[in-house]
Amino acid sequence: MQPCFNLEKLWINMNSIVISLKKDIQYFLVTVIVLIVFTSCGESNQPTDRQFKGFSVPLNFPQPTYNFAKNPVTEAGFLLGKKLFYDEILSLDGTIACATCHIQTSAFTQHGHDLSHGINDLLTLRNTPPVQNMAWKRFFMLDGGVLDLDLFAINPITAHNEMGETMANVLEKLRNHKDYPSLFDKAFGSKDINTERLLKALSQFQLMCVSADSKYDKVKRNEGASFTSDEQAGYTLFLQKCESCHKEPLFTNEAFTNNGIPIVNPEDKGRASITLNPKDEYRFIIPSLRNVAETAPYMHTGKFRTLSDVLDHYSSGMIDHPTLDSSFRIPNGLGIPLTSEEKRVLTLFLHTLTDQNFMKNPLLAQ
Amino acid sequence: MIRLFIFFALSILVLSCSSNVTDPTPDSSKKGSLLVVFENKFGSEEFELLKRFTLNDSITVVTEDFKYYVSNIVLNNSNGSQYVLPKETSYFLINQAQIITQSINLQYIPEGDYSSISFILGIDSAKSVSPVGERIGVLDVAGEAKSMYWTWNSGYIFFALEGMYTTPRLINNSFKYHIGGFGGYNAPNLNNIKTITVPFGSSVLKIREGNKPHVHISADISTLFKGDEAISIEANPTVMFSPYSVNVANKYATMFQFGKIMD
Ligand code: HEC
Ligand code: HEC
Repeated sequence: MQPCFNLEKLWINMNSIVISLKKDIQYFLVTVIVLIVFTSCGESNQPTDRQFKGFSVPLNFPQPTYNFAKNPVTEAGFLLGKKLFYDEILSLDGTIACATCHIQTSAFTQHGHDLSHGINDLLTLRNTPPVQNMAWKRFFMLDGGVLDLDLFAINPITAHNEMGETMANVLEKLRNHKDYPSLFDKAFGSKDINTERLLKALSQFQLMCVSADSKYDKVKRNEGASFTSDEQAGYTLFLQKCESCHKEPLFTNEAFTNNGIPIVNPEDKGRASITLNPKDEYRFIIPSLRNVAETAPYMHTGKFRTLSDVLDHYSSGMIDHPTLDSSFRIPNGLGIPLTSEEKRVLTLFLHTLTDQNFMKNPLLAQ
Repeated sequence: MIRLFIFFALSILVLSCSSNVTDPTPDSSKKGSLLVVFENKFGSEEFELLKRFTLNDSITVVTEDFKYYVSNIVLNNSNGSQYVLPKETSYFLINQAQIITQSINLQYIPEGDYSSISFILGIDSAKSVSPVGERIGVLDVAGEAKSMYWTWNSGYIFFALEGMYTTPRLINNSFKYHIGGFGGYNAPNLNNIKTITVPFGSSVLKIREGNKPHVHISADISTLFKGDEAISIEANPTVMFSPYSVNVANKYATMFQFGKIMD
């Protein structure tokens, strides 16, 4: 109701101004207004174009952690990586691609699935995390077992419950494929297809999956957007209650923490399975909250269906455990106290982290 | 004191002179080569896959897979100096299923008289975190390292031994030892990197241009299950990335013995 009314008022105001002007100026003004409306519409609805512009660091982001000197992102390398990411050839029976579980329109997660289905309908151990802003990550996997993006893809390719293949077989299939040898040639200067090239091409695509164009980013970069007063209230609360872990601008400090969610699979000890330190039991990496409104269900278990479930968890659902983060131990209980009004504005703020330009970017689409 | 020193210096001179009588003086600017032969054994028997070996009165084992990495090879000269093989040419995977992998060829070694060999059983920590482009040959996860790599915890398996064991109560139970752990990337973690030195006893490894001696080193698998801190195959049939793996690594560090040198 409210915005409609305002618009009407604006239109009436403008009309009265327009009428009071001479005819030629009138035409001129109308054209300008139409043009402005047209171009701004185009900007907000039309995702960035298909043109490859290389990797660049968004103004409000820190320097990436990925070593680009070892694997410079080129258009040919990126396009090869993209083709591989979307190609079921990486799986044993040709049914599963990376993109089966990492779907662009949900920030490269599998929206709606607590766990994902790999080959032979086997379930993954954990909820599928987004593939976004990989260039800034130091740890991969929710327990941080992998430290180099280039080494990551061996996991899904060879995991019996994801793609079930062997690296050697994948390389062989690619070598015998009608297109791949020449695509490797374009990307790396010869038709050789080996482990290094396969992994580096996949990295090049994933490195380009940068999400930095949400409303939040536009506010931060002073690109003409501003928070509503509710969003601003939510942001202020976020800075007080959440930002110590979900640190700006990537919305994670990449620490491993137990945030008190119910243990679904006691065998999955999280960080402790890597460090073998009992203090790390049931600790998982703090996830980024970018595009969080689009990546439900939540947590490594995928047992939280909505953001409101998550906030209820923080305010009143936390389960005690010896490794629960000490910041959640408060005088009369556990968690982060939040009123329903606070939850409402926090949710509105979390929605400002949604980046449609990223999820609809044709450059990243199949 | 000075007298003692002179005496020592003289005796060294005499000793080295005496060996010079039979061999030309090693000229470290010249290079020779060497073949190191790993002879896997089970007790006093030659080891074979799929063959049943008797561990003790009640347990027999049949091994299906036996592999280990040997890297960072160093030759210790009897004069106290060392020759460190160039790192990049110093990674080997000894695979019981492929006889050719059990002899490793070392080249461009400075002439000298060497008294022992040292190596890492496994992969050093720097290599364990190296970029994918430096993981070639036996370190290529699409190739020979295929079953010697933990994808979920980026790291090489240093030592793999698996198969079946039989006791009076249980027939053909599987056992599996996959031991690795390079010490952690940015926080200390499980470290099973073992540097092993095999002294040649009274034998001398003479590296000379144009000669290729063979050094035989035996690796007795039964060592794991015998003696102090023996691994009980019944109590711990499966050991992988876990604190207990340290015990297995401590045992395999003692399984190498000098055999012989053939000039
Ligand atoms: C069957 C579903 C599935 C497939 C197929 C799949 N993934 Fe994943 N992906 C997951 C899950 C689940 C995780 C979380 C793993 C964990 O922590 O245990 C994950 C994690 C990741 C991560 C780490 C993200 C982070 O935040 O740490 C990257 C990168 C990734 N996948 C890339 C890929 C690539 C590249 C491919 C194709 C080669 C692929 N995935 C195929 C389900 C899948
Ligand atoms: C002490 C650190 C810490 C604090 C403070 C914290 N979180 Fe988290 N958060 C985590 C961890 C750890 C996880 C992942 C847990 C898992 O997967 O097991 C998480 C997960 C989430 C998720 C799910 C994301 C996904 O993609 O699955 C949301 C949403 C979230 N937090 C929101 C918040 C909000 C909102 C606040 C403030 C009210 C907050 N968090 C405060 C540590 C923290």
